[in-house]
Amino acid sequence: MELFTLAACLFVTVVLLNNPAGHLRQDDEPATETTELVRAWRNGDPLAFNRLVQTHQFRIYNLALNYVKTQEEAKDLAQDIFVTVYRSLPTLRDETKFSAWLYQLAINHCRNRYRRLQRQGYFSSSSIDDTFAPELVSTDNPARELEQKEQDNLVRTVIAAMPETEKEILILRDLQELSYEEISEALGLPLGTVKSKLNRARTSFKNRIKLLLRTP
Amino acid sequence: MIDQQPCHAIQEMFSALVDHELDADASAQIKAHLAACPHCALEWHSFSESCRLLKGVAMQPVPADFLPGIHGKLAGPRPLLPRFLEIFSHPSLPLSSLATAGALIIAVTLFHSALSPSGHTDATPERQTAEYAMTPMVTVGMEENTRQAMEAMNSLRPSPVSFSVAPPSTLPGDTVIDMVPIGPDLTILVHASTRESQAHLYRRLLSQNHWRIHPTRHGTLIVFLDAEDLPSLRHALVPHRVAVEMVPSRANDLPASGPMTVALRLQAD
Repeated sequence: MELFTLAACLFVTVVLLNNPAGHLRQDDEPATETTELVRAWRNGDPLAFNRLVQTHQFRIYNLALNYVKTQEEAKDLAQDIFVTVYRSLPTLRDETKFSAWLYQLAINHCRNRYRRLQRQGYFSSSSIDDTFAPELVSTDNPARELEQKEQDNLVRTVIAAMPETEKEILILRDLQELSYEEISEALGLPLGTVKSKLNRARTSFKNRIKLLLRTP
Repeated sequence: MIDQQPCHAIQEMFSALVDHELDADASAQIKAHLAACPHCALEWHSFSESCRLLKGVAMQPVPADFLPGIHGKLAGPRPLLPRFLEIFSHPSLPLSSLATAGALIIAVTLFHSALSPSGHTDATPERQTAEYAMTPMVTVGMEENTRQAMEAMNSLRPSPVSFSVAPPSTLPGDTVIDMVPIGPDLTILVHASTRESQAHLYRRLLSQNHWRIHPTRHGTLIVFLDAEDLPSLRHALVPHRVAVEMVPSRANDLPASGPMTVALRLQAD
């Protein structure tokens, strides 16, 4: 019985260590399944593209949401990313690298859209209340929900004000939960650079949010 | 020894400590330093707290009409500028190649414009059909009025999806959706290939509370809903593998909001 309890504790510990944030991502799926879908699509299965979108749309939509401030704009941006995926997939050389390729493409799209909107004054035309307003989901604890929403808005506002390189590495690591290796591939940076840049970006975020919280 | 390093060297490892990237010895030595250095301990506290805030940001759900919107964009015309920008968004091409390709595209476009007296692109029906045929998922049955259905739908630009024509047998085992512009505001004919897939669709429709459903003795379901709930209905009709678009009875006459009636004719082939 003690052995069973010990094994159960070990299992729970391993699960928690692998998922320290304690929440599940909607589109967590083995990389091999993505590879199979890419192959199936290339072999003429038109429905495989839909499954690919469904597998990755959650992350890509949320990635877009960190660059543009409204859900409508994020939806449009994320859809454009998948349209480019649809049209550019024949140029992908290694099917096993689809996820890294998708992120590279998505980040380029996000940067271009962000810069274009910034030139058009998009980010200064609306109040902060319009920014990152998530859908309200009815829960048993509306006060907690509101508090969480305010906290999320605060974090996203601080991230939005950060320089592009710091912002991207924070989004990829802490919001998108990519591994160091995945970030390295997506941004085309050596692993050591990813680690040092991440430490700098987190320190910068810490200083900015401290400053914001002190400001009345 | 890490614990003999200056404070800034310790603080450069905070990120790795948060991510559990350090081995046990290094972690223990940093913690020993933190125990002896109040300044670093304070920095570590705010660093780990801000990381907790970052990791706690809730992800947002994807809008329900996300996938049909992608197919709508794929089916629509491709403006030149986004296509050009798309090339520059491609991750695997070096800048010099992109610049050369860009110059070539501009040169060819100018040359083509000079030769073409009308100055517009030759979007012939054959080219359109070829582009639509690339759009997956939507199949319109070979009914007599398929052509009218396609024309009616394509006149609703920017439409979510354009149609390709293919016989129902091209998707063996799948539910084939056949759309004909008759009936109230909107009519959708659904040919379920098996009774199981029909039952699955019934269950899915009945489980929603966005609309009222009245069955008729001919197997048609009359759906009363608000026009704003059309995306939800469309989503309900896309259980796993088949996307559905709808054809209004009167082209360009689909209400944007307010009550409307949709006839779903469900038939087991």
